[in-house]
Formats: sequence, structure tokens, C-alpha cells
Amino acid sequence: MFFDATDPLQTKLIKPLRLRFMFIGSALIMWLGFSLPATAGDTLTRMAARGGHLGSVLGETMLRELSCFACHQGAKTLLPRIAPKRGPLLGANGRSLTPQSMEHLLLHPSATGQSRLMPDLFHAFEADEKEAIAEALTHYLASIQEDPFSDTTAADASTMLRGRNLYHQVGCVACHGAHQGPKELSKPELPEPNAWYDGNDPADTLISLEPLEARMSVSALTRYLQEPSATFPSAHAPSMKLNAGEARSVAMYLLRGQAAGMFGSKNTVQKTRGIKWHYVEFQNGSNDEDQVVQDLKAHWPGTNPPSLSAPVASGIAEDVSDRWKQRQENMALIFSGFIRIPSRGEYSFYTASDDGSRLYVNGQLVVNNDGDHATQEKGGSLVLEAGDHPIKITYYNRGGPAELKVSLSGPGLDKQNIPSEWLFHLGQPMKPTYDKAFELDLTKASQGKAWFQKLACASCHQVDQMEPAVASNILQNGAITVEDGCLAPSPMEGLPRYALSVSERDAIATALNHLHETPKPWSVDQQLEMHLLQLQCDACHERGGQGGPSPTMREFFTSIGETDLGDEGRIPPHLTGVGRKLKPSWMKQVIEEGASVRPYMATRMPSFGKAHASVLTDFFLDQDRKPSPSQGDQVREASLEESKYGRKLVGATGMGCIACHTFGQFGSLGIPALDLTTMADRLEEDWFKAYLVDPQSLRPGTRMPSFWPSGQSVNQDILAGDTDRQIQAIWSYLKLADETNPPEGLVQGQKEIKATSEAIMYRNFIEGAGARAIGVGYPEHVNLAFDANQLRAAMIWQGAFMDGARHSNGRGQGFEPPLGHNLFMLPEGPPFAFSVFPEEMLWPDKSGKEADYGFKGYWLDSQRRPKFMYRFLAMDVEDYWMAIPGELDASFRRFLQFDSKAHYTNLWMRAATGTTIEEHGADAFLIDKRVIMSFELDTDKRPVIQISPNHQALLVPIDLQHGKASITQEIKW
Amino acid sequence: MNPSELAWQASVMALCCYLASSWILGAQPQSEVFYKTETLPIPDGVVLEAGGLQWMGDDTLAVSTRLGDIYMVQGALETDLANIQFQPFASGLHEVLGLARQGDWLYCIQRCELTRMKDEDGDGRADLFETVSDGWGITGDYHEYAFSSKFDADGSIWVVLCLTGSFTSEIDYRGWCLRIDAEGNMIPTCSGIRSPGGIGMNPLGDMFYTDNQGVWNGTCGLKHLKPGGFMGNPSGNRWYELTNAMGPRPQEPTSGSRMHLEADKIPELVPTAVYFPYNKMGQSASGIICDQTEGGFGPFQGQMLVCDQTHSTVMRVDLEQVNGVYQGACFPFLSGYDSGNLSVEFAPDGSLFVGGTDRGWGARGGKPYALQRTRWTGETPFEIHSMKALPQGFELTFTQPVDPESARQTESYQLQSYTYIYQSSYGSPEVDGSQPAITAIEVSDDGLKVRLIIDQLQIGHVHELKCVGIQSAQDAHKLINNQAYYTLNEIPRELL
Repeated sequence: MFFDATDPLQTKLIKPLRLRFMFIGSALIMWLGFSLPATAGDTLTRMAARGGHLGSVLGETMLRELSCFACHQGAKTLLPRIAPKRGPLLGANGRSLTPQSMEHLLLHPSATGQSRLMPDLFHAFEADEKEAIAEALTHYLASIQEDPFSDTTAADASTMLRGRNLYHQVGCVACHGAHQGPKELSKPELPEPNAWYDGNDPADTLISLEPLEARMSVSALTRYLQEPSATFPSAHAPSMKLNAGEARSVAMYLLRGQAAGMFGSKNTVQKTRGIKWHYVEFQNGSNDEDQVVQDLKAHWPGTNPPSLSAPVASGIAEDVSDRWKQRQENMALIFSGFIRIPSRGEYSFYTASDDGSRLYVNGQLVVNNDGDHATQEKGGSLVLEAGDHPIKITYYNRGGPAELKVSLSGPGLDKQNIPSEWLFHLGQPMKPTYDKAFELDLTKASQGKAWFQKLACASCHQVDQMEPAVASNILQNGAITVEDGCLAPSPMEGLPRYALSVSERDAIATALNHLHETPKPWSVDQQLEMHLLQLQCDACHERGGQGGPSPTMREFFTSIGETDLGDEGRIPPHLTGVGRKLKPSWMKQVIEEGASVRPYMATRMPSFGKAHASVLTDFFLDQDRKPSPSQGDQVREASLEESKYGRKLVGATGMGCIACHTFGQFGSLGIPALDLTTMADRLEEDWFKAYLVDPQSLRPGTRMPSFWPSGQSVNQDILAGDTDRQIQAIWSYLKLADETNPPEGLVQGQKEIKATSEAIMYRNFIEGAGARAIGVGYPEHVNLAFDANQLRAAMIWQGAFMDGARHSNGRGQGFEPPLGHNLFMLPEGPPFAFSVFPEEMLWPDKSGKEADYGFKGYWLDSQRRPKFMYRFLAMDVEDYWMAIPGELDASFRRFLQFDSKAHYTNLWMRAATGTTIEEHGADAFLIDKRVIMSFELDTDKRPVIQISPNHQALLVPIDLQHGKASITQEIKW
Repeated sequence: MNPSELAWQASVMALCCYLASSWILGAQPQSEVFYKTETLPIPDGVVLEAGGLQWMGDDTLAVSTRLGDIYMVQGALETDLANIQFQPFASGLHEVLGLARQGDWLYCIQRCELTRMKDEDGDGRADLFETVSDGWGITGDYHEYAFSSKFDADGSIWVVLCLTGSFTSEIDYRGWCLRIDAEGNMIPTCSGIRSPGGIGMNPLGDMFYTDNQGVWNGTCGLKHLKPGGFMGNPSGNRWYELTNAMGPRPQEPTSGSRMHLEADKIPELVPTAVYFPYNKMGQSASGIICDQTEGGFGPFQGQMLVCDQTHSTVMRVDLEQVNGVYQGACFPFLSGYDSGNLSVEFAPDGSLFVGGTDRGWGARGGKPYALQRTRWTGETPFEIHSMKALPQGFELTFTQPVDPESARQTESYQLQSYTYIYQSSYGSPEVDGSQPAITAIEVSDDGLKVRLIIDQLQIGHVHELKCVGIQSAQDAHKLINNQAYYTLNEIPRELL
């Protein structure tokens, strides 16, 4: 809408800028009086701090940031430069802000932080008038938006911690600053609300996050974080590609001030709508201390729960289903909370699941739908009183399709999903913190709507179906000073007042005064630099020696896992010459969608949307490709013949690129450097070729070595060592490369280590026997692993010995499990202990060096069978293992010799532990119904079965006579 | 111009280029004229990722591998390498990166322990394996490498231990140097190690190791294992709590500083003796050997040879002690090895043996593993023999007399200096660069020495010197390698 010149309000609000207003000293003092501490940074201070050298361009950009031309008219030709940024959307499709905080902002405009871009519209009104208008506006806005207090989020510390980690890892810190130092981040302690890390960059170079807990709900902030442009189309904040769960975690973390009870004495935990869920994956190395894992294990069908991860995700749900799973297989969900039964009666519960599930009410197993199976439904009934009853559902899927449905029926209630309003959990509700109550008054709302139109709020804030207002007044050339108009520290009645510093006013005035003088077009350099500054690309990326994270900020840029890629694995790549490096199509994809090829980098490339992508790509091309325009991709098709040479060069017998680079689904043989299958799609051919010859010149400090130092190939065998032909061949291969044609030497099969005519040894990281394991394979097809750290025989198995592939490929990381079958684990911990009452003793925990054990070595007999030699206190032990062939399979015979300088009594060896140990003849025992152990002892003392609630142990006496003893032990499957 | 004319022109051009280049090449001898490298044929089934080399008498070379095998190699000094024999001596050990010999015993380092072994029954294979020391820990991270030295004059073996992973020390003494004396006692000797690649002694018996670019290491370097010293990486300093042998835990260095500034504050900190500027000299410094061949390997008696795994090269290092601190220069030397050089050893006849692997860490050589022999041909290469610090500059010694005219020109030299950020994050660019001016040049009468008087030597900096214009007096040849990189920890005091 256009302003009606007869409307008295308009003349009050908008006056032509020709007005002269004498600047008076007292006004300056007044202004400085409410000028703000320099702790809160915003777009304007950051631009001034980082883009001071840009001169008038900077002032023009401020015109955009302040949306000056949302109200003023400017020449159409200038529009792209001065197009108003405008504020966030309001109403149903906009931000859902608490009415109280909106009213507060209207009455007390912010003088610092990003909120100061919103001017004070009422500074000239009388106080009561001002309050009435603000109240009406608030009621209007509240009437058209979702109620921010209707949120049902429950506080959850583990979700907040996840949010904290994401905030500090994915890149938020680069623009908004850190709340904790890198060291604190490794601890599971949340920072206080509004905490600020001392090592942050100067505040005026960051965009301070204003306290949000009074303003919005977790769900509103979640929506914003997931897609900032949805409610704020011109926001500089890009999407950090957070999924729904991540966005919620970050929102809950940023709004942790709403869960005050978690930080102070006020504990307001109460029953809140929704049921808690935890999502868990099966994997090695479970964290058994985690309560949920314990819980799940306790209810695991069968006696042998798999190793579980700590919860991968958790949250509050309105229904019980499998929709929270993040993968199909090897996962589990556990739901817990309360069910609110409306009236007494018999209720039936049902689970339909693939694979197993269980449902408990009041701790009682009501539905047992255990086991691996296709979807099947089972049910169970019980009588429940009216009121709240604890309910828990555990569910897992091992392989194949996954499904979980839960339903119930009861008095007057047909079988249906559990009504969502029946489900509760204990949790602290998170709601915007505002003491002042608010009750919507529709009369005030309709007055507010009128004011919203009159005050031309829609110029900046789009509200459903309300047209934006544009003022008709034109900014006059050469007549603008900081002393009058909106730029005045204390403008006339009717003009908006902005909280601007003197230098900001000057910059804006200068820009305005130059705007209409034959406007000098911005150079591409200026436009590009300004654009990078506006989007704050410089917070993460260096270009031409400018920008990039500061040394303290760099500490927050991390790699995912241990990649051993150095800074290249954690600091986003520099952008110097990026227009020559990346293909325009890929560059657009990176900027628009945040496409990324560095999975090891914790910091994410955000997505900035189509418009920025296309503009920035053009700028980069324009600036970087001068003065020597790239040849671009050669028109020439990649030749198949050439690509075969390329494949050889990339492979293990050529240059060995795969020693470091991944190739599609195939990991490299070493570090996970950039995926080779992406190269030809992303990179310009010219750049790629120049990079291969001299990586340092294009990427200083890179760990990529040159294989053509000074242009000379280090491989003179392939293509006669011709540098150009070799590099061309690699390019051709990479253009055609896909996972069906991986480089030579990348796909490695099993490398079975076999004992043929004599025993064979394998000292390495062996799963189940520790980092100092000694594996021994016997030609009789029985195998043993000895743990030289704990000085114990760790496990025995039959069949194939070990797969050597893991430790002979790449860097050989990780623990390799035994290859064969019938694995039998021998007791963990120390092998020997003293006790007068072995039946009741508590076996000690301390082992190895800590308990004064020492490894002394081994002797190999003529068939290379080891006799291990070790020591416990002053007692030397010889431990000699032989394989005894049998009719069906071989067994072990073990000779233990003890020779002690000190006289020890009541000494026992723990030979086995298990769930069951049964006597099986004279001095013979059946362990877990799998293995028979028998003993020949040189003493009258007999082995003892020790029975404790969780397990049984077999203890064998070491009866030293004149310092010597021996035990012969036979182990049969 | 039609296509055939174009082709003709192109071939004329190519011919001219060829003639021009062959004329230059004809005048300037290539490095093969001085050093000849031959490849030992390795039998099928032997994966010889050579981690340790040890001579067992005059004709048998023990070679240990990353896969845990030890072979006795016979015939490695024969002119014809075709008859070489590999005898398995031990197998199944855990990544053996160092061998040493004493009498019948062959000592080897495994990730978890120092072991000695011998063949008691005379069947050519070791049957008795004794743990000499296992006073450090291992968690199962692949970074937990251990390298061992030869015996020092006191009969001790020195062990340098890589951290657990790239950044942390999770178990006893990871990131330390330990000495194992003749009785098997373990003596904690130095802290501050990150990721060693080799260990060896200089002619005085002082011990050095190579450490690789990473946290607290701006670039790879050769470091002096001064007993009681802190080598610069504090990640493993918690283990001071386990020992009284080293005194109190040193003060934590300030990240983002420079090593020479921190060395002023932290008395235990031993500055890197020689930096290997990243990419210019190499990217993964590894095995070390001192040339004690008394001229059997050319004119470099007493200098250290240091391998680079990534570049498949052998560098030359000339050390000196100035004000009690080791420093010196490194020079490019031998290149073009087949795999990633890791282990290095001189044979009794003065041949150099270099073993390599590129598994897990790519190398220019490109072959997965190799064992090669380099012999001096007897021709002296025209090289910068050594570079020594003077109170006001440097003194260069050449292997052959230089043309005094070329040596007196300031334009014959390009000098710049720079250092590295000493920081807790990975590596460092070259920083604080300067271009110190050469203000005077003196050439000795015999033409072997040149003194460069330099305005403003930079303490703590690498002084990168390129002798681009130097020619030999006899044939006006250029230097085979004209670069020298001098790490200036200390400036010698003026002699009164």
C-alpha cells in the first residue's frame, strides 16, 4: 500500500528528509547515554570490523541491512544494491514469538545486538499512548500466530548436551561465538545459560545470540534452525543442514534457560505429555554404564544380549511406533513413561512387531512378543485402576524389515493406537520464560491490526495477506546529514529512531549522498567481497590471505573420528582461486545445498540457497578466471585406453593414490582423504592437472605429496614416465571411474594365516586377547590366544586360525577376531590369587603389571609350539600348550610348571568361568555344557567350583612343595 | 598453415629442444654418476616392508618387517644380486621397527616390548625369545609404534614411542624416549615425542630421532634426545608422575608461540636440531644413519643421513653444537627410491641399504615395499658439503673448489629465513619470513670455503640458502643440489 497523504498519522510518521534539524550537543550526550556496551556484536558492527577497507560500499550495504528502501523510494537502477533486507515474517507462517517479548521489544527497542536493526517507532509518543499501541500490536500479532506456550517439550540433559556439541562443532560458533572452551566441551557439563567463552573473537566481529528463552519455544526455534529462510527469507543465517533431531537438540540447548531447574535448586520435574523414547544401535564396545542400555539388556529376549551403543537419539513422542529408528537393522527402541487410564477396567495391550517386542505395565510383562520373527501381533490383558501407570515398551530388529505398532482396547474402547493424550513422562517442561501472563483480547487485536497498517510495519514484516507498504518519499541527493531524518540521534516525531553509532551514521550518510551521483558501479571484487562478508563466508574460509577462523576459533574446528588428516581434515578449504578450481555446476551445488565431499570434517558447509549460489558462482568465475580464462573441460572424450593407464597409475602398483584417497564405497589403505570418484565432477581439468604437479602451490601446507616433482614423474614405467600423458590418463580414468571399476590393489580379500606343518604365531591386536596378544595356530586346527598384558590364556578356538588382512592392509588399525569356530573364552583378569576359603573369595580385579605379573618371553619347541614364560610375584611360570589330535577334533593339553623363590600357600589358579560348571568325573569339569576340562595335579588338594549369583568359577590349587608345583590341564570341546 | 606443415614445425621445435637439453645434460653430470642404486630381488611370498636392518657378520643382513617377520639375507653385498638368499629367522612378531645385535642375541623392538632372541638348536631359526623390557603401555591404537636404536657406548638401547593416536598419550610413556640398559632396567630419558620415524647416533654417540609434522611440530625435524630433555610435545607429560628420573614436569608450552621463545622459558625444552621444511625437503622423516664409512660412501664422513618416507629420498644432515645446543643444515641428497624409505643402514663395505614401505602412508616410489643398495661410484659429486654458523653469517664448505668469481657474486645466493608456529594444532605454515641481506662474501684460497656475512641472522629460524650461481672451478658445473636449510637455534659467540 501507498501512504495516503491525508492520513494524519502518515505526516506524523514520515516526513520528507528535507527537514533541517539542528544538532545539539545534549542530543549527542543523550544518545551516548543509551549507546550500548560493546559486548554484543551484530551484522553492522561485524561489517565495520571486518570490512572497513570497503569504504562507501560498506555504507551502501548498511542501507540494505537496515532496510532503508523498504520505506524510502530509490532509483530502480540501484535496487540490486540497496534492496531492503526486511525483517522476519510474522503471523502463522512466521516466527512464533511470545506476546510479552514482542511488546517488550516495541516498548524498549534494543540498542545492541541484531535486534537493533528494528527501529524505535514510538520514541516521540507519550508514554500511555505508546503503551496502548504496543499492546494492541502485540494482541494483533498474537492472534495470528501459534501459541508459543503450547509447546510440550520436556527438558532432557542428554539432548541438550548433544545440542551443545552440535552448536560447537557444525559451525554455529564461527559466527555466534563459543559458550565453553574446547576442554570443557569434552565434559558432560552444560554451560550456564548465557555463558560466554573467554577465548572468543572480539564480540564486534561476531553476531551475538540474544537471550532467547523468553522469546520462543523449543519447537519454534527448531523450525527456524532447520530452515532459517522459511520464516526469515533474507536472513543471513544459512541452513546448517540439521535434521529434525539435531535441530531440536540445538534448540533445546540454546533454550536451556527455560529448564532453570536443571541449573539451580528449583526442581520442577513433573508429568508432561508424551512418552520418552531412546534409540539404540547394536555394536561393539557398548557402554554398559548407560542406564538405558542396562534397561534394554535387562529386558532383552534370551540370555545373551548383543553389545549395544549408548542411545544414538532420544526424545518425546506422542505415539509408540518404529518411526524413530535411524536405520532398519540392528537397532532397538525403548519407550518409557506413564499411561493415564481414565477409568477402572480390564485393558488389553497389543504389539505388532518385526522383530521382537515386549510391553510392561506397572513393571509387569503384559505382552511378550519376543524373538526374531516377521511381523506378528501378540496381546495381553490386565485390570487397571483409573490414574497413571508406568508403561515400558522395548523393541528391536536384527535384520530385514522393521515394524512396531502398539495398540490397546478397554472398557467402551475399541482396539486402537494408544491415545496420545494418555501418554506422559516425567520431565521438566520447557516453556518460554515470562512471568507476565497474557490473555488474548480480540478487540485489542483488531486495533493492533489497524496500527500495524498505519505504522507500515508490513514494509519490513510480511504478515499473511497484508501487502507491504512503501513510502513515497525520495531520498534527496546531497542533502543528507547525520543531523536530521531517521539518521539523527534523536529524530523528529514520526520518524523511526535507529540505534546507530556515529561512524555508522557517517557511513550511511556518505553512501546516501553518493548514491545518486552518477553511481559508480561496484567492481566485481567489491561485490564479491561484500557478498562474502554479508554471508560471513570469511568466518570459516580464507580467501586471498583474508578471513578464515582465528587461532582460537580454529580450536572448535574438528575432525570426526581420528582421521589423521591434519588441518585439512578439520579447517574448511581456502577459497583463493576457487573460481578456477571448481566447476561452476559443483560450486553452485556447494553454495546452494551445502554439498560436501569431506565427510571427516565436523564443521558443515551450510546451504545458502539458489539465489546466493548463482550470484556467488558468477562472481567467483568472473574474478578468478581473469586474466587467463580457463580452457574449461576439454571437449575431448575420455579415452578408454587412456583410462586403463589411469587406473594403473591410481592403483597400488602405480602412484598409489589409494594409499590415502577413498574411492566411493571403498576406504583407502590409509587415511580417508577425498573420494577419488568425485574429482572429475567437481574439479576443473586445468586446475586438477596443475595441482597434481605442484599441490603446495595451490593448497599451501597440504599433505598431498607431488608425484611429479618439478614436472618429472617418479614413475618411469607407465607411459614412459611422460608427465602430461600420465596426468591426462588419470583424469580420463577419474572421469569414467565408478565403484564397479576400482583401482588396482584397493579391494583386499581375506588373508588366512595357516599353520601347515608346524605351529604359527601371530602377535597383534586380537579381539578378546588385548593389544599385546600372542595368537598361536596349531596344525591340528586348534588355536590359542595368550594375553601378554594380563599374562593369561585368553581364548581357544577350532578351525581356521586368523585373518591377517586387517593388519596387513593400510595402517593395520583395529582388533581382529579369531577366524575359526567354537570360540571358548577363558577367564578375564588375573590368573592367580590367594585365598583360604576359595569357595567364597572375591577374585581380585588387578592384573598385569599392576598386580606384579611380568612377561618373560617364550621358547619354541621343534614344532614351533610356544612355552610361555612369565612371573607372578617371585614365582616363575612356564605355560606350555600342545594340540592333541582326536578322532573328530583336536584338543589342548597344557603343562604348567611353577617355580617360586618365595613360599606361597593358599594359591589358586582360575581355570574357567561360566554360567554353569559341573563335575564331569574325577577332577574333570563341564563348562557351560561346551568344554570339558580335566586336571592332573601333584597334590592332594582338589579343584573347587566357586558359585556366585551371576557366574561360576573353577579354581585349581597350586600347591608349592619346595617352591615347585605343576598342573596338567586338558581341554576338550 | 596446413596440418602437415604444423606437424613439421612441431618436430623441428622438438628437435631443437632436444638438442638444447642434451647439450646442457652433456655438460652437467647427473647424480647416477656418483651414486648407483640397485634393487634387491625379493622372493615371492616375502612381504619385505623393512622396518629394521642389522648386519650379522660380514655377509648376513637381518631384515625385520612391519608384518613381524625377520629374515636373514645372504649375498646382499655380491656384485650380482641375483643369487641373494632369504632365510626366515622369526615370524609373528608385532611390527618390528628396529634391530640390534649383541653376541648371539638379536635384539628387536616390538610395539609392546624390547625382545631378544637367539637360535639355540642351530636350525637357523630363533627359538628363545626373551622380554628385555616392557615398561611402557599399549592400548591397541595403530599409532602406538616403537622404534629402537643400536647399542650406545654404555650398552643401552634407546626406544622412542609414538603417542596413542595423533594427539594423546593414553597409556604409560607414550610420547617418551626410554633407555634400556644392559641389565634390562628402563630409564625414562626424554619426554615430548609425537610421532617418531627413526632413531640413530651421531659420531659422538649422542642420540637423535626424527619427529613428524603434527601437533606441536610445525614441520618434520631431527631432534636431539638429550637425557632429561623435553622434545616439545606436551601430550605425554602426564607420565612424569611415574618417574623420578626426569625431575619435575616441565612448564606447559604456550600454544601459538615459537619454539625458541618457549625454550627460553622452559629449560627442559630441547629445540629441534634441524627442521626439514615441509614439502621442500620431505613430508615424513624416518630412518637415521651416520656415515662412518671413512670415505667409503663419498666425502660425507660423520654426517647424518635421514630418510623421507613420502618423498622416497635420503637427505643429508650436517650437525654442529653451538653454545651447547645442536643445530645444523640439511641438504637434498639421494632420491628415486622404489618405495617409502623407512629403515637405513650401512654395510661393512660402505654400501648403504635402504628399506621402504608405502602401506598406509603413500610414497613417491610407488612400490609397496623395497630393499635397495646404494653404492658410491668413487666420483665426488659437486655439493655443498657443510654449512656452519658464524657469529655474523655462515661458512659453506664445498666438496670441490668453487669458481671464485661465481662465489663472490651476491646474486649467486638466494637467502630467506622463516620459522614455524609452535602450537597445539596440526603443523604450521612457514611464518615470520625475512630476507637477510648478504653484506660480504669471502672465498678461501683453495676455493673450498665461502663465508657469507649476513645482516641480521634470525634466531630460531630456518635459513634457506640457494646457491643458484655457484660453479665449480674445474668444469664450471652447477651444484648437484644447490639448497641448504640451516636451523639457527643459537648464534656462535664472537671469538675474542
